[in-house]
Amino acid sequence: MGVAYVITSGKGGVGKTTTTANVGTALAKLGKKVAIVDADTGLRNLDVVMGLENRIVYDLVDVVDGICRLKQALIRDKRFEGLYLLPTAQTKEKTAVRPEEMQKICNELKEEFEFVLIDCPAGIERGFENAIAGADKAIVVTVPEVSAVRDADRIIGKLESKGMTDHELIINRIKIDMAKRGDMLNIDDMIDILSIKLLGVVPDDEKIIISTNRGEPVVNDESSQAGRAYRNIARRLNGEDVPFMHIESERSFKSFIKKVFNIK
Amino acid sequence: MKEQNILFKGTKDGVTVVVNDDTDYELIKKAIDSKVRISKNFFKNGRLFIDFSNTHIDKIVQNKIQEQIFDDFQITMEKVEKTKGRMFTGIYEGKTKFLSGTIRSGQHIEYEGNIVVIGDINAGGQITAEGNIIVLGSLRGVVHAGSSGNTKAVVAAFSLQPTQLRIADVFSRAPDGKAQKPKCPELARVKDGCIVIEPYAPNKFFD
Repeated sequence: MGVAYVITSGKGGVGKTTTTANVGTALAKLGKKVAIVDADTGLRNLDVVMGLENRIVYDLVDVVDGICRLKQALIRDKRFEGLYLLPTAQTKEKTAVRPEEMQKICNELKEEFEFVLIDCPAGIERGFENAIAGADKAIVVTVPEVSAVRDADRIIGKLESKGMTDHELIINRIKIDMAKRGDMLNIDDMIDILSIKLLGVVPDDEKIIISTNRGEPVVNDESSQAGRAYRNIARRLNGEDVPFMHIESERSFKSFIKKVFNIK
Repeated sequence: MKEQNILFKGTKDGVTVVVNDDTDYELIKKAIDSKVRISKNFFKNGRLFIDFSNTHIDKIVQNKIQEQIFDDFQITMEKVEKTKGRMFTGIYEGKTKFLSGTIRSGQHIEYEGNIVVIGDINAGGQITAEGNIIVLGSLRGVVHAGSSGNTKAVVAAFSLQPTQLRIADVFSRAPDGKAQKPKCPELARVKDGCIVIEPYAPNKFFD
């Protein structure tokens, strides 16, 4: 029986879809059977980020309405062995799915897949309720910004009130130079406020925007720091003990020279 | 698993649903649904009460549950209200609620007594106590001590950094500008009509 993770955040735009796509792909590359599910009905993005938009025939809402079987809606990603996407409808809204229906689908997926990753929409309403209904564990994604941390805290409180206490944190879009200057919330402060175990830290990387636009997950790019961070997160989810990446500043050589010659 | 947190107690006035812990709205509704469905007529003639005093459940959610039960069964479920009007005086010796764990953003706890939190209160979280509020951790949210009018109530924390601090009807917030992290545990109380903050042991620290 597989495990279902919901990737949630509260705040929008912090990288839930990117995380779902990349961690899912990385797990598949490790040889696992993975299903990634888009729970953002009406505003679907997971298919675009994966580059599988033009292969959608049936979606999650069709499965719920009984128009097709789950197997027919799952899209096999030909680039990565073992990776399947369950897209959702763009023309419907979140009220088209009920939490019980979502739970049923996730249970069916867990029978066939080792990992089920559910991409949760932003917010705390019906979309969120649907997404967590079928999940066993939660991955909370946030960025080092005060408003994002506030929302993450709310989400963690909501998860706990539903009995979901197995949750871990991914801090996304760390800009190491800003953190050093003190302009960005640092990791220790965030953990202190959120009281949650850290799963991974992903540096801000221009290559992410390129990858999501092209529909090619960045974990495929060996030169990308974000890709490497996502691959590490996948390895940790798989049970491996991977030390946290030492995020290199892009200007580190320049600043080293400056320090040596005492230039400001 | 969470269903043990919803108990049905028989009283001389009728039946009281006692909710313990932060049970989810859906679970409460399901539990009441199943019980009332079985004995619908009994509840029509008797009175049905609901007691949220052991929970952190928001008032809006409480009202939602009452409305839902009325919509489904046409039964008015009355909330067990505590007696209002009298100011709580037990700030030196009085009933105290002890909470363990972090109070997160969006959670609101009210109590007609003192509250001790063994944990943090995160920004966006709120505590309203008729007595004192003591936090063994960082206080970053909104607190209201002496909420029934006792200006002698105090607020103390290991790290006092509230967004807003209220004692009785006196409101206060941190001074504008970059706030410094407190160096020691601190105590807030009302002096001459405004809120002052002192180190927890005034003789140990000379500012």
